[in-house]
Amino acid sequence: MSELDVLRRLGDQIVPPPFEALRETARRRARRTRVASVAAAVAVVAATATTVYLGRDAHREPEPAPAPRPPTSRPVTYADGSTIHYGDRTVEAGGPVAELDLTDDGVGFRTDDGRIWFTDGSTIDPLGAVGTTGKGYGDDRWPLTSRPGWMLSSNAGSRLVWFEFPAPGEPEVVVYDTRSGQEVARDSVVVKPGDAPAPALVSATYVYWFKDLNPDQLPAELAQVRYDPATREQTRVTEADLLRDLDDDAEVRSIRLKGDARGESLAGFHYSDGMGQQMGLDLRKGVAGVDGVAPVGPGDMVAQDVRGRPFRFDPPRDYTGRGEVAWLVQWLDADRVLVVNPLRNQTDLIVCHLDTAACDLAGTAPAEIVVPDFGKTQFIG
Amino acid sequence: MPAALDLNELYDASYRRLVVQIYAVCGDLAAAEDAVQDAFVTALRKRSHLARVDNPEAWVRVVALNGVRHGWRHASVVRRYQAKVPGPQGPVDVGPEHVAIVAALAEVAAELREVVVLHYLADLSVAEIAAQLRVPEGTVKSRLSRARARLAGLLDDTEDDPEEVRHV
Repeated sequence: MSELDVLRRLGDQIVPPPFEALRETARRRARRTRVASVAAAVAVVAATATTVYLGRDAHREPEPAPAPRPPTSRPVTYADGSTIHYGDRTVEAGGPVAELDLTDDGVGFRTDDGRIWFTDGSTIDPLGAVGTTGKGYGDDRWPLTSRPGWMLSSNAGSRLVWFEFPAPGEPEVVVYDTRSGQEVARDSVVVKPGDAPAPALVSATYVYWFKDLNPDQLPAELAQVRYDPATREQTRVTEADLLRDLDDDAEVRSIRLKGDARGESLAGFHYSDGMGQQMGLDLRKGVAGVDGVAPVGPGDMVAQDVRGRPFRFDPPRDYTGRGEVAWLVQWLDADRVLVVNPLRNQTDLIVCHLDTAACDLAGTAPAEIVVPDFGKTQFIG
Repeated sequence: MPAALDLNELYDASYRRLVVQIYAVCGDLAAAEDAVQDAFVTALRKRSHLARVDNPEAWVRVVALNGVRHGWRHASVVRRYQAKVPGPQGPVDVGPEHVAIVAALAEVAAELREVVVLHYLADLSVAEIAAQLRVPEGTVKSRLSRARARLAGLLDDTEDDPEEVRHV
């Protein structure tokens, strides 16, 4: 069968794409299942996890829970360089914005010098600074399926969370209420020597962080710690704990997920708060949604909101955006979500309705903007 | 199995030959590149699992083969939702001699074609193919024999293969 050797020689002409491009693809694919992975996480190590730490400042009185209020809407928000677009308002930050997250009251953001701020769309208040993180915290240290970032917020409410480092390798978790403008809690993160903890997830009740960053593992394989701002308790959590927490926290603007792209289907639905749900949406091909399937294995994924409305949308009428993949980045209210479609020279901002599945092109922004929960967008078509 | 798997190194060493092998199976060079790249993306995401595998290249090949074997049903949906792999990096001159071989292979049943490709292009022994496909060695030999018989009428070369001849 020497003819087949002719095919071998064909290989000499093939130019592999840069390996880093595949790594980026892996990151982007995994983003849409981040919470699914996290919810299924901690599987191996944490199976035997127990409470390991009670906050050192336990004598402090727990802050009273904020009074419930009706969910509000959040305007389309992004940053272009140092300019934050918050609905129809613009705010000039003191430097390029590296990261931003929304609460019901405004925008928390981190400038590229590490300082953390909050704006309600008119004024800017300094909140803190990440500080010098120390060893183990380069951007390439984050788990494969996550993005480097120090801030978290929930999809509804006023809670903003971030890490600060008063000393290298000694992080503090800060929980801030943007409605009252007060810190709800600030505690030292218990760090085992050699570990590098980093924020992972926030729910209406708890804050979660990775016990130790590891770029060679998925979040699902990393141990996590649950922090309760009300009791200051830091607890290693099991997968069962995490699933139960998310179920308990399910509310409007939550996403129900079943299955993931890791090849192992989850048996039933579980809830997430939606953090990290950046889902590939191909608006060009006539449909947009996240009822996708895994490329390998049986891990079909289904996503819907708490009322059972699927994340499957019709693209805007006559839409011609030529991007290959778009991303769900923001809840605007209980019915509308924002999808960004990064194109070569611009970013399309598309608003989709869960009730009707209809989408409208709400506007355009420059290429490579910073969007909530995701970071900088990038054209990959 | 090395203690620390270097996926980048594996990629550099095996990408081209894996693409050729998958191309011979599926008959579409772009699809073959997609399948191999997808397999490496999966490898990245299952790194800890892959670290426990005896032959990572074989593992990647199986994933890529699974991709072209089972992936078509889902392909359009996957492409709709998945972040895209980079795709072919430059034009590849697929000459008529390549087309003829691939066309001939396409005339052979898929299960036979896989065995031929694994044996003659991936240089796997009958035992290795049997292990990879999880079929008895006799089945592999039988498929090789049938594939050769089928290809004999499509290709000029009917050069014998010692391992197979012993069986036949």
